Amino acid sequence: MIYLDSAATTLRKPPAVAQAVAEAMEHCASLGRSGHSAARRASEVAYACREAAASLFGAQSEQVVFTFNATHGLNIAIRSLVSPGDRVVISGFEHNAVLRPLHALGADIVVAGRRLFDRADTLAAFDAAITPGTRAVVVTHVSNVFGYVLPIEEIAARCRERGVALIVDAAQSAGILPVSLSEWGADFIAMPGHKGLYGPQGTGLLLCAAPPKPLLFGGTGSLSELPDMPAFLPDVAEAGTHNVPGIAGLLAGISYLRRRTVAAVAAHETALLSRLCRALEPIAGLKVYRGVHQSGVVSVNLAGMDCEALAEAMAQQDVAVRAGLHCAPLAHASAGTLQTGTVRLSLCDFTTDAEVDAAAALLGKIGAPVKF
Amino acid sequence: MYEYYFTFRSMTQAQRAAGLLQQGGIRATPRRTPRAVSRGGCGNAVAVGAADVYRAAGMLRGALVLFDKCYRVSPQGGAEEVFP
Repeated sequence: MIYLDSAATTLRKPPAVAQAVAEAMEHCASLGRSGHSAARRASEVAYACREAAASLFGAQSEQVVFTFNATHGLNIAIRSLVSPGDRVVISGFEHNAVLRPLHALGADIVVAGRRLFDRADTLAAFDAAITPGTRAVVVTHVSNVFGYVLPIEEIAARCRERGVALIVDAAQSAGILPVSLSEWGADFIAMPGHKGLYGPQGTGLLLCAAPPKPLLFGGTGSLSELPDMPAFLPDVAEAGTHNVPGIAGLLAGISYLRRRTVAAVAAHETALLSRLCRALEPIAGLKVYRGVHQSGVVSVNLAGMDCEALAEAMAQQDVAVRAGLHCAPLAHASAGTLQTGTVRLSLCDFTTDAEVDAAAALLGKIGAPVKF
Repeated sequence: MYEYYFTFRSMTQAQRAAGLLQQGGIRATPRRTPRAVSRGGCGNAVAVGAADVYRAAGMLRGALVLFDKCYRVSPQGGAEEVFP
């Protein structure tokens, strides 16, 4: 299979990830609950993962909370900062993981910046929208549909200047672009473990510079006599038994990234994306959504062909892509593709030149007019 | 032979302390806090030997890794607070 759906989940992982999961299944018990060797091993794995993540993302180990995915982390962060009726500024490229929790809370949602790949417009829109009454900015670092890299450093600076809380959705950037809790001064940064960090599904991280409110209530292995959740990190946001095999795999994924370096991953994906787009752009009838500030994600549409039919045709040739709205209708509305959807091709550190060449050739073949 | 337990509010904080002490050459072992001295139930501690307790306390304070209490625990389970 040629796998170009890494923006959903990286399927290819460093071999150490699966090995770590298997070893944890066999040797690790519940972390922080007992003093026996199997529990201690679990605790050591979890702490090593917190330290590795803290080092990679400019945080302290206590600020690293284990979640099930980025959506889980975003829900914790949003529920911690936003109350019903609060004014919250978001970009025009947010995933439903941001939009739905804010909608469910009854926040006053202000959408800023809807021009695709236009960082000046994005920044100007945020400048205008972040008013004194704004409670929080919740913004994605990279659009999961188009790979648009938003000007997050500048938006973070505006938030710091104006004393507005900042939540960053790093679902498409963690492990691929520099992400730093301390440098950005963000209150929370949420990320999945199963995408750019190469961990297993069911893992994620929430970096917390602000005190979170619990989303789940239950056992933490600490202050057990009290009916309230502990107020301190990370326990306040980690009720219930942890996904220790997942955390072990996530540690292996992060360890791979620290050896490889995020800069090397970014360079690889940038080169691959350029190669892919050079091959796609000459294809007649194929609209390629390309910009200057773009990570390893690109959307396309083929004239006269439904996006789902195109993805299905590619799947039949064993090329895995994703079609539709990608759980981001706001991003599609901003880009003018809400009615059609798009086909998304997304890369990872294990994608090869040969794979992107083959995928482009297949798109060319599907798009070529039938000759009689 | 007594053991000395530095208690912490969270396991993560105890692990951070143990790592710091180990880097400083002190044999420090993460442990569950004995029930007799755990405050609020289910706590986490770092055990060190008698010869290291003062140096360990100094290292932790110097690095701002704050422990809740320090207890001297006898082999029979009796505990008394150190540095009250």
